[in-house]
Amino acid sequence: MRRRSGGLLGRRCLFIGCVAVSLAASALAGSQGEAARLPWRVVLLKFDGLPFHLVDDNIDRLDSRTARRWMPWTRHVFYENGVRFPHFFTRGLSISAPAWCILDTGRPPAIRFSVEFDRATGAVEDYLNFATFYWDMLRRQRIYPRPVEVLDELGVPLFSDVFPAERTYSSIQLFQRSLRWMVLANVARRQFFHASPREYLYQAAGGMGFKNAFFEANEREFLYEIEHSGKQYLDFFSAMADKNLHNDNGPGAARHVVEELDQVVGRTFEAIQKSGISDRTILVLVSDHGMNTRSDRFSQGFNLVRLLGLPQGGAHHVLTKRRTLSNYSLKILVRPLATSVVNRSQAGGYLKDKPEYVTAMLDLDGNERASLHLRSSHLNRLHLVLLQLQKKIRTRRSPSSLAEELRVLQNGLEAKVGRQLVELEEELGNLSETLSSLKEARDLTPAQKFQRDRFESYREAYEAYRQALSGLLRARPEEVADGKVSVRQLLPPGIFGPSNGIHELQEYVVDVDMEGRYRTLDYFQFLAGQRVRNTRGGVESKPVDFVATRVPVEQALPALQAAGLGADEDPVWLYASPESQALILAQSFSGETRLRYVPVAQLRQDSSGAISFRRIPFQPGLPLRIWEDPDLGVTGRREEWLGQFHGEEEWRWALYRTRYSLGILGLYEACQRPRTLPGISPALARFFRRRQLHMDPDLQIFAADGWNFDVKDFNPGGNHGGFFQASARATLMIWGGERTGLRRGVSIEKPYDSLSFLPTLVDILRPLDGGSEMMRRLSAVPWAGQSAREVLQAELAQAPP
Amino acid sequence: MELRSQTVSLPYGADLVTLSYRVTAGQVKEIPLVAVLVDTLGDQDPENDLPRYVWILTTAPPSVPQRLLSLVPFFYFSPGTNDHPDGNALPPFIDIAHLDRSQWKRISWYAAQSFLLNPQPWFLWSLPAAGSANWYEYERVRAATGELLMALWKNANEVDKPLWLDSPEWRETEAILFGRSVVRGYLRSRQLQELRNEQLRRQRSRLARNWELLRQRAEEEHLFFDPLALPSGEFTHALLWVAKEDVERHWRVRPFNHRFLNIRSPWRDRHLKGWQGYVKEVETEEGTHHLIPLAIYGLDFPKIPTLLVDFRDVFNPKKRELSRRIKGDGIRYALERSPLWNGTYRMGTWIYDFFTGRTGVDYNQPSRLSTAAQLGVLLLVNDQLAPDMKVLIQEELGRLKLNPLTLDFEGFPRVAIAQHAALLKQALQGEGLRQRLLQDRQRDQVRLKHGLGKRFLFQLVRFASLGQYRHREPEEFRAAYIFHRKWRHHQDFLREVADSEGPLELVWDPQRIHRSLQFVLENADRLPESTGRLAQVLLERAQTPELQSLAHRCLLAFRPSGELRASGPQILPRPPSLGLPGQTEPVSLPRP
Repeated sequence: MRRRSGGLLGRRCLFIGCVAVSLAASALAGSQGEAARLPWRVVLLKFDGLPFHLVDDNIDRLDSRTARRWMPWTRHVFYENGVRFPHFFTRGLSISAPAWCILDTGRPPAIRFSVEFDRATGAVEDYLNFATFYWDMLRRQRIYPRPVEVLDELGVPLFSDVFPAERTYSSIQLFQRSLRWMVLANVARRQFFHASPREYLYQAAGGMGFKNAFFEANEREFLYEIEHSGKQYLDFFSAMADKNLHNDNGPGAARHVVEELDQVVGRTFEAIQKSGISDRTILVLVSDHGMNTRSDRFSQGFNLVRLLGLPQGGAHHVLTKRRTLSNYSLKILVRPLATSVVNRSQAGGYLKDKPEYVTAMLDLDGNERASLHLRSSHLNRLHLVLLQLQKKIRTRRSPSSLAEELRVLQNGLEAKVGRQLVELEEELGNLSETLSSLKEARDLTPAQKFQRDRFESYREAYEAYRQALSGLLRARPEEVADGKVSVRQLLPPGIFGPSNGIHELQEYVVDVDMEGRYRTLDYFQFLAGQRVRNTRGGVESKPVDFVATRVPVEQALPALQAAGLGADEDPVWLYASPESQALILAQSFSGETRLRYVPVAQLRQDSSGAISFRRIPFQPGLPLRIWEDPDLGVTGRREEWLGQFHGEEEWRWALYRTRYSLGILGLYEACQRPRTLPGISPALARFFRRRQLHMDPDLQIFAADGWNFDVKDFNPGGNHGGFFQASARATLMIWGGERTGLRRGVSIEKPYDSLSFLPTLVDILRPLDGGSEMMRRLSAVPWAGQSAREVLQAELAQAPP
Repeated sequence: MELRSQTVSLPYGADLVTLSYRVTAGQVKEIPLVAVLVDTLGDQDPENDLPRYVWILTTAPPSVPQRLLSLVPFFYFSPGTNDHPDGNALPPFIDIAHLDRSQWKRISWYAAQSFLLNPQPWFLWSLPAAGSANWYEYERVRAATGELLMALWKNANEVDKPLWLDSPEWRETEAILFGRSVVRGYLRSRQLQELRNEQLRRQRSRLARNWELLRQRAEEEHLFFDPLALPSGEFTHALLWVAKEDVERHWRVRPFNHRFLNIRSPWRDRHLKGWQGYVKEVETEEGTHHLIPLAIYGLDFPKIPTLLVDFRDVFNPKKRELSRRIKGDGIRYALERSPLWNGTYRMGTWIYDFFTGRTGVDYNQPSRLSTAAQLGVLLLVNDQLAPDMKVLIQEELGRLKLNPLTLDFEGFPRVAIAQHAALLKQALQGEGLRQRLLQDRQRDQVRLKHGLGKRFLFQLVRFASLGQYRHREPEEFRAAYIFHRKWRHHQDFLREVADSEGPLELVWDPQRIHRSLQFVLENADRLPESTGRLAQVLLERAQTPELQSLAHRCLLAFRPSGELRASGPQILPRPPSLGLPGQTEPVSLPRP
C-alpha cells in the first residue's frame, strides 16, 4: 500500500526549492579551480543505437557544394588523435536495457531484456518508460528509475557509483541516479519562451520540436559542467540516432544524425580544452548497439501480436508494453502512463470474452527479435478441465473422466512446482524478516524506504501466487463440479505458472473440441513456418529467421551422450525448420567455458521429458548460416574447426566478420540461466534468482534480415535486437589528453564486446591515478570482460595492471 | 525511360534549362517537364549564375470558364483544363525575385475579405471567397507538382544536376514555396534551410510509414501490394491488387477489415467474380496469379495512405474528398452569419477533426488533390505500369476533380509539349522574357546602388508619373553588378565558413577557402569593410601558415596599417555560443 504524500502545493514548493538548491549547489560546487586539482577526468558521450558503420562510412564525406566535411570533429578527435574500435560488438541481444546495463556495470547483464514479464505475478517491468519514472518522482513515490532499482536489489553497482555524488554528472538516461529537473525546466523554457518574435515565428512554422529542445537543454548543461565544474565523471546520453534511424533510412536522416553527433563531439572537445585539465581527460564515444538500416530497402513489419491472436496462432490475449498502432489510437490518450496493454484476441477460443486471462506476453523491444512467454500449457489444460467440469465448455466427456484427468494434472503440476512452492514459502519468510527489520529501522534513506515498499509488494504478489497454486493443487473435482469454487478462484488471471519445456511448446494446448480432444500447436514450427506475400527490396518472404530456447541440461544430457556429445550447461536450441536446427553446447575445460555449434534435425521432447534429435552434417541454411559464410575466419577445414569446442576469444576471432557477427556468443549469453549475483544478501538471493527465472521467456524469436516485429507503430528506417553485423556492431572511440598515454590515430582491429568497455577504461585511468581509494575499488572489481590494453602506448600497455 | 536536361543559351545572357522525360519504348517521344531560366550574365563563370524563373510545364493556366466557375460556391466539378494553350508561354511558376510578394498578397486578400467583403450581402462576399479558396487549392496542387518535379531533377542524375539545386538560396526558395506555414517568408535564411531539411525528413518518414502501413494491411487482407516508384527510386504511390484465384477461394468466407484501406470487401464483390477489365499476370512462390486492380493510394499524405482511385467505385474517393469540402464550405458560406451556431459548429468540427485525425479515419482529411497531381506526374515518368493501366488510372483520376481549376491529368504530355514550345519561342524570339529578366537585373542594380530611402523615392516618382518613369542604372554599372554577383558568391561562402565552429582547416576544404580569399585579395579595393572583417575572423581562426598568411594579406589589403577599426560595430555575427545555465537569454545551438 503506497503512502499518500503531502499536498500538491507542498510538492510544488519542494520541487521549486530543489531546483533552486541544485542550481545554487552546482554554481558553488563547480569551479575550474576545483577541476584543476582532479587527477583525471572521464567524459562519456553515450549515443543510443549509433552504428559504427554509419560513422565510418561518412567520416570522409564532403558537402557537394561547399566541400565542408560532414564529420570534421569526429575525424579530428577520434580518427586522427584517438583510438577507434571498428569491431566492437554488443554482448548478447542488441537491445538497449541489457546493452547499457553491461556498459554501465561492466558485468554480464543483470537486466536481460528491455521489458520483463514476471510469469508468477503478471508484473511488467518496462525499463524504457521514462514517463512513469518522472510521474512517480513528482508524486514522491520513486527516487531512481526502475532499472537502477532492480540493479540495487540485485546488488550490482553502476560504474558511476564509484565516484562521490558531488563529483558525478549524469544526464537523463536509463541508468541514472541524479535528478535533472533543471534540464526539464530548460526544455520547457526553450519550447515556450523565445528571445525574439522571429523565433516565435520559427516555432510556429514548425521549428525546433520537443526532442530537439530536450537534446539541446541536456547538452547545454553537460557542456557547462565540463567547462566550469569539478566533476570527475561526466556523461551525456542521446537517443537521437536510435530514434531517427528507426524512422528513416534515407540519406538525409543519416546525414542529420552524423552531423548532430559531430557537433556534440566538437562542442564537448572544445569544452574539454577550456576546462583546464584536457591533458588528463578521457573522452569516449560509445553506443549500446547498432542499427540494421539500409537506404535501398524499408524494414518490413510482421505482426506477432495479431498472429498469436488468430485462431491458428492459439487465440491468445497478448500482453505487450505498448498498444498496437498506438499512433492511431485514442486509448493511449486515456492511459498515457500505462506500462502494459492487453491486446484482445477476436478469435473465438475458450477464453473468448475473458481478456483478463492473458496467455501470452510479448516483448518486442528492438523489433528485430521478440521474447515470448506463454502460459504454461499444463495450466491451459487444467483451465479447460475446470471449465468442462463446471460445464462452461460443453464436450462429450464424462464428469468422471474429467475428474480423473484433473487429478492427473494436479499430480503433474505438483511434480513441476511442488518443491518450488515449499522453497518459495521459505524465501517469503526471509523476505518478511528483512521487511520487519526495515520497518523497525529508524534511519532509512529515501531509497531504502522505497525499496522496503517494493519488497512488500513483491511479498504480497508472490504470496498470492503461492496460495493460488497451492489452492489449485488441493482442488477437489466434486467441489469444482458443484460450483462451490469458481474457476477464477482456482486459477486467477495473470498467473502463467512454470515455464514451458520443449514438449509443452511442441504440443501446446490451445483449445478443446467437442469430443474433449485437445487442440495443440507446435510453436517452433508455427512461428518459423510463417510466410509473407508482400515483400520488397530483396527481403525474403520468411519473416522469422529462427526461434531459440534453452534446453535444461539434465533433460538434454542423455540424448547428447547418445550422440557422442556432452555439455555442462544448458544447451541453446535454434530452430529454423524441422530439418534445419542447431544446438549450442557449453562445456567447461579447466575452468574456461567453451562453446560448440552442432547441426541437428527433428529435435523433439516426449511427454516423459526424453529428448531425441538427429545429427546432420554442416550444410547451408542452418541457423546463423555460419557454414556458408565467406567471412568465417577459421584456420584449416571448416568442418573440423566447427566440430570442436572453442573458447570465447577463438569464437570472436572466427565470427566477427560474419553476417550474424558474434551470434553464437550472443545467444549463449541471452539464453543462459540467470546467474547467482554475489552482491545480494544470502537471505534474499534465492528469492531474487527465482524472480529472474520467472522472467525468462519461453522462446526468443529472431526476425530475418529486413524484417521487424514492431506493432506500436512502423519502423521502416531500421531496427536492431538481433545479431546482424549492422545491429550488433556498436561504436567505441576514445580520445585522451597528452598525459593519458593513449595512442593516436589507431584502429584496433581485434574484436571486442561491450564487457571490455569498463575494464579498458579503468586500465586507461589507472596510470593517471595516484592510488586513490576510488581507483583501488575499481581495480578490485573482477571485471568479466577483457581489457583492450593496446589502446595505451607500448610502455603503459606492457606495464603490469 | 530516361530523364535528361537540355540547355538552350539565350542571347541576353541566360540559359534555359529543361528537364525532359524521354520515352524510348515504342514511339520515341520527349516530354518536357520543368524549365528553369538561369541568369548567367553571358559569361562562363558558374559562380555568378542565378536561377530566376521556374516553369512547371505540365500545367496549363486555367481557362476563362474555369475561372468563372471557380467563383461559384458549392460547385464541385471541373469543366476540364485548357488542353490547348494558345501559344502564349505560361507565367513562371517561381519567380525568385518576387517570392515574398505572394505572402503579402495572401495576407492582403485575407484582410480585404474579412473586413471589406464579409460585411456585404451574401452574393458579394461568397463569390470572391469561393474563388480564393479554389485558387489557393489550385496553387497548392501546382506547388506539389512542382515540388515533385524538382525533387525528380535533384535525385535524377548527378551528371545532369545543376549546382544551384543544392545551394542554400534554392533551399530557402523551396522552404518558402513548398512549406505550409504562412510565416515562412519572414524567417532567417538559416531557419528556412533548417525548416526545409526538417520538412524533407518528415516527408520521407511519411512516405516510408505509409508505404509500410499499406503493405501490412494488404498482407493482412490477402491482397497484393505494388508500390509505384519515381525514377529516383522513391515510392510515392502504391497499387493494391487482388488475385482472381483468391476471390474464388475466399468468396463470402474470408472477413475483410477495411480500416485504412477504405475499399469494399473483394470477397463479396460480384464484379470481381465476373471481372472483365484489366488483369495482370504474375508469378509468385505460390504459383501464377491473375491480378485485378483494386485501388491506388497516395503515400505522401499525413497519417494514412490516401485513396485516390477505387477501380470498383468511382464515387468512393470523390465522396471522401467531398466530405472535407462540404464541411469547410458549410462553415464558410452557411454558418458564418450565425455567431451562436458558428461557435458550436466550430467546436464540434474541431472535436470531430481531432478524433478522425488521430485514428486515421479517411474523411475530412486534408485535400488529396496534391497527391493526385503527383500521381499524374508519376504516370508520366513511370515505366513500371502497362500503357493500358496508365490510361485506366488517368480516366479514374480525372473523376476525382472537385475544383473547377483542377488540372487534367490526361492532358499532361500534350500541355507540356505545347507549353515548352511556347516558352522556347518566347525565350528565343519574343521580348517578354528578355524584358522581364532585364527588369529584374535592373532592380537588383538599383538595390545594390541605392538605399531604402532613394528606392522609395523612385517608386513615388514612378507612381506619380503613372508608370512612365522607371529608374534605370546606366549600362556602365553592369560591370559593377557582375562583380557584385561574384563577390556575393564568395562573401556568402566565407560567411558560412566564419559562422561555423572549430578550426577552419578541420571543417572545410582549405583549397576552397583559399579560392575565395584570393578573390578578396585581388579585389580588396572594391569590397566593403564587412569582407575585411570576415578576413579578420578567418585570420583569427586559421591554423595553417598558408591560410593565415593569405588572410593576413587580405586584411592588409583592406587596411595597410594592419588593424580594422577596433571600436567599430561588429558586422559579422559571431557564432552563437551555447547558453549556459544562469544565462537568461535562450539561444539556439550553433549549426556549423
